[in-house]
Amino acid sequence: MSFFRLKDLIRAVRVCKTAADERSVIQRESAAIRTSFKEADTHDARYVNIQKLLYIYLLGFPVQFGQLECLKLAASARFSDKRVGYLGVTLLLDEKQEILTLLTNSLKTDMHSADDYVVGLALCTLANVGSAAVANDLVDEVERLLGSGRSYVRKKAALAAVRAVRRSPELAAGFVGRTRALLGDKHHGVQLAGVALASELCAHSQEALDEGRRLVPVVVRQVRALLGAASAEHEVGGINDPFLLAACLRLLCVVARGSQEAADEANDVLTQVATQVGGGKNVATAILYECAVTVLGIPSSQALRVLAINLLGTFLAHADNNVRYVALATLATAVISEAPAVQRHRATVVRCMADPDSSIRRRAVDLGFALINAQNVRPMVGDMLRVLPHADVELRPSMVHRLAAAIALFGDDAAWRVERMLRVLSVAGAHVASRDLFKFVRLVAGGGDVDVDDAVRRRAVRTCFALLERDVSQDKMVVGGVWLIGEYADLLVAGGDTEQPQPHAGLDGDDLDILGALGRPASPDAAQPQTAPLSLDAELPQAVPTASEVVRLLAAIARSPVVSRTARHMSLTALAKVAGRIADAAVVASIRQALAAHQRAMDAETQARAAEYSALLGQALAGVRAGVVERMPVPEYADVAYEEYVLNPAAMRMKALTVVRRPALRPEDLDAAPALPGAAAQAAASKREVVEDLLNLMDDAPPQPQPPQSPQSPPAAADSLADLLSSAATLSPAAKPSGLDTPYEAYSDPQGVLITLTPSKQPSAPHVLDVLVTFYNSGDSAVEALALLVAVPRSQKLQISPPSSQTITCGSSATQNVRVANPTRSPVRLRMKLTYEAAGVPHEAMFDFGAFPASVV
Amino acid sequence: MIRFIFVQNRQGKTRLEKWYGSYGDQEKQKLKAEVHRTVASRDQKHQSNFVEFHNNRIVYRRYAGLFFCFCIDTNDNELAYLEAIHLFVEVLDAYHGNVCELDLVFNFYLVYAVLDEMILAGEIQETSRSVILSRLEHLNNLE
Repeated sequence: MSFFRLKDLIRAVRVCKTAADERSVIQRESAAIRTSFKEADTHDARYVNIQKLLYIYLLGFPVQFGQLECLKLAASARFSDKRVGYLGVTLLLDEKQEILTLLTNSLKTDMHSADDYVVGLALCTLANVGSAAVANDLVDEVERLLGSGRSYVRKKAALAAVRAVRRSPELAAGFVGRTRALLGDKHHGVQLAGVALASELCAHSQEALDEGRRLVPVVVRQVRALLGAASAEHEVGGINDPFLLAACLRLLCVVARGSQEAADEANDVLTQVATQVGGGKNVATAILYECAVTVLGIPSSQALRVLAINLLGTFLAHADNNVRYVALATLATAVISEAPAVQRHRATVVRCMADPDSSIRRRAVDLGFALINAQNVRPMVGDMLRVLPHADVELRPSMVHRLAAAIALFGDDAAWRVERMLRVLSVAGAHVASRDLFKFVRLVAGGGDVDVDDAVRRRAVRTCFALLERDVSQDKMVVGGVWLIGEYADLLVAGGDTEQPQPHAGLDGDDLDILGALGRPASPDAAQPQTAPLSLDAELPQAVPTASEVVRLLAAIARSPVVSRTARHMSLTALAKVAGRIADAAVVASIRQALAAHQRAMDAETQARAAEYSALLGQALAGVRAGVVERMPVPEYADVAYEEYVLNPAAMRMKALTVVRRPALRPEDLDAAPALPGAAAQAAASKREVVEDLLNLMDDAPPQPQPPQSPQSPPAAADSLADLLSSAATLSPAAKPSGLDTPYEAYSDPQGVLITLTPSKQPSAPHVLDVLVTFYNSGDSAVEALALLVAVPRSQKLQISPPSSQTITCGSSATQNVRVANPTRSPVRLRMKLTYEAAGVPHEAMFDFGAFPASVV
Repeated sequence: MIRFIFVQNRQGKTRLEKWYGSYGDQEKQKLKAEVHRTVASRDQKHQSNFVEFHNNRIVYRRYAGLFFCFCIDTNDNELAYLEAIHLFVEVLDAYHGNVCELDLVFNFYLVYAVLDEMILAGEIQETSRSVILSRLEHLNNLE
C-alpha cells in the first residue's frame, strides 16, 4: 500500500503511536517508492516519490537508493521538478560521493539557462554540495555569472565561488579581479557575498590579500555609507544592515592584519563605529564586538586600542550573558598585546568567575590566569584559591596546574610559595598532576629556584600533619604530605628544641584503627570543627605532634581504604624513615607493629615494602638502617621550568607566530658549503631502507629552492674561503647562530594540540640539529596514545627518542627529542605525522615544517 | 562560516538539517543527537545562547518548542549569528503567516527554499526580509 501524496504520508507517520509503528509505515512506503522507481519512469511519479523520500530522510531513515532518481529529476525541464530534484541532491548526496560528478552536466546546462531562477537553482546546488572536481569543471560558468545583470544571480555566483575556492584553493587566482566590482555593487546581498568571497580569497592567496589591501578605501566608504544612511529595507534594531556592517569590519580585520598602511586607512572609520554605534541592543553590541576584534587584530593606533578594550570592559558588566561571554573570550586574546588596559578590568573578571553560567565561569577563569603577572600574583592567586573549591570538577585539573605554574613563575618568596601550594593541595589535591606535585616536593627539598630553609620546612611539614589529620581524601595532598612527614619527621616533632620522646603506651590494634586516629585532634586545644573549610585569611593550621602521634597518623593512612596505592606505599616508606629519624625504641617498636599489619597485604608491592622495612628495622640490619633512611639529597635531574604560556595558551601562539616571521634569506646563507657529497650520499643510502615508508611521504614535497649538493655551484672558488670562515664561525661556541633555542610553532589544531619545535645545537657538532618537540594540550580533554612520526629529506639523518609521555592531560605538555644529522647543511624540512586520541576519538594529522631560519641550519 | 544548521523540537526530533561541510551519515545522526542533548539541557534564563561544541560553537535560540541551532567557527561573531537566527525565524513567520512546528513538518521543502535564499555555502546571502520574501513568492509562482 502506498500513500498517494506527501501530505498523506506525513499524516500517516504522525498518527503512529510507537516508534515500531512508524518504522513499519516507513518501510512499507520505502518499498513502494522503490518499486515505483523501477516501474514508472515519469517525472510526475518521481516528483512525488522524491518529496516523500526526503521526508523519510528527515526522519532519519536510509534512503540512498533515491540518489540517482534525484539526479534524473534535476535534469527534468520543469522548474518544480528541478527544485525538488536539486533539493534531493543537496540533502541525499555528499561531496565525497563519485555519483556527484554526474551532476556536472545538468548544472552546466542550467547555468546556461535563460531563466534566472533555474540559473539560481544550479548555483545554489553548487554552493551547497559542490566538490573540488565539480567546482573545477564549472568555474568558468561561475566566473561568467559573476557579471550577470541580475543581482540575484551575482550574489549566488559569488557564494558558489566561495565554495569552489574552499574546495579547490588553486581556483582563487581567477576570482581576485572580480572582488572590486562585487564590493562596489549597489545591491546589499551582492556586497555581502562579495565580502565573503574576498575574505575567503585572502586566506588562500597573497595576490588576493594585496588586492584586498587596495580595496580598503572601498570598504571604508561602504562602512561610512552604512553608518550615515538609514534604509528601512535592511534595518535591524536601529542599525542599517548590521550583517553587512559586521562583514565589512571583519574583512578590514583580514586585510589590515600585518599592514600598517591599511590599518591607518581604517583607523578613522573604526573610531567612528566605536563611538557612533550604541543602544545596548544585541545588534549594537554585535557591531561593537566586531569592531573591537578588528581594532585589536590589526596594527591600529594606541588610543583606538584602549577604546576597544574599554568597550569590552563595559561588556563584562553587561546584563546579557551572551555579551559577557564574547567579551571574556576577546579579552583573553587581547591581554597579550594590551596587558595594562585589560588589567584595569581585573575585578570584573574575578566577579565573572562566580557567574551562574558555566561557560562564562570557564572563560573568566581562563582570562583570570592570563592576567596574572608578577605584580598581581598574590591577590590573583588568592582569588583563584577562593574560586577553586566551587569550580566545576572538569575545570579543576587545568586550574590547579595553572595555579602551580603561576605560583612558581611569579612567587619570589619561598615561604609564600610553599604555603600557597599546600592550600592548592588541600583544596584540590585529587586533581593535582604528579608533575606539579614533584615540583612542589622538589622545592621544599631545596631543589627549586628559591632557597628553602629548615624554618620553612618545619612550617610546611607541621601544616601537612594538621591537614592530613583533617582530611585524607585529596590524593596528591596525602602523597606529598606523607613524603614530607617521613622526610622531615625530626623537624615535625622536635620543634627545633631538644628532642622529647614521649613515653607512650604500646599501641594496640584499636589505636591503629584508621578512623580512630584520623578523627582525633592533634591536641585537646585544637579541638575545632574538623570539617570547616580553611579560610584564606586565617593561617593554615599547624600541629606539633609527638612521635607516637606521627606514627599513628602514618599507620592510619597506610591502612585507610580510601587512599591510593601510591599514598599507601609512601606512608609505609615514611614509617621506615621515621624510625631512622627518631631513634626511640618504643617508637620503632610501634612502627614495626604497624608495618607487620601489611606483611600479608594482597597487593604485592605493599607487601614487599612492609616486609623489607620490617627487616630493615630488625636487629640484623641495625648497622645499615641509618644510611638507608637518611635524608634524601636534592634530586639531581634537571627540572623543566613552567612556561608562561601555561597561563595563556594564546600567548604562546602569538609568540611563536612572531618568531616564525623570519628574515629573508641572505645570499651567503644560500651558498652554504656543499660538504662531502660522497659521504652524504652514502649516509643517505644507508638510512634509506630504515625510514623508507616515511620518506615516501617526502616524495611529493616541492623541490628545494637551492639543492646544496648541486655540483655546478658557480662561484665555487671564491666561496671556498668564505665557507672556511663560516664553518669556523659556527664551530666557535661564542658565535651562537640566531634562531636557536626559540620555539617555532609547527602545528595547532582545533582539538587544542599545539606543537612547537625548539632547535638547539651543541657547539661541538654543528651539523647536528637537536629539535625539542613540545606538545601542549590546551584542549578540554586529555590526549592519549600520542605518537609522532617524523621524516626528513634524504640528505639528512634522523634519530627520534620516544615522547616523554603518551598521555597529556589538559593544560599540560609532553616533549620528544628529534635529532637531525645534516652533513650537507641543507635546509631542514620535517614532515610529521601526528596521531592521538582525544576523548576517545582518534585524530590524525600530517604537516610539514620548514620554517627554521637559514641561520639555524 | 556556518558548519550546519538544525531546527529541533524539545523531544529531539529534527525538523530541519542543513550541512555546509562534509559529514558521514552516522556522524550526522550522532551530531544531531549530541546537539540536542547539549542545547536542550541548558538553562534558558541563566545561560548564554552560545555553547562550545567540539571545536566549533553552537549559537542557538529557542522559539516556543523549537531550538534553532547554528554551528559556527569559534572566531565568528556569535552575536551577529544570533541576529541571523532571528531574521530567519522572522522570514519563516512572515512566509507562513505565524509559523508553527506543523508548518515546518508539512512544508519542509519550502523551509529549505527559505534557507537557501538566506544562507548559502555557509555564509549569509541576503539580509533583507522583503527581498527574500518577494523572491520566494516568485519561485512559488513558477511551480
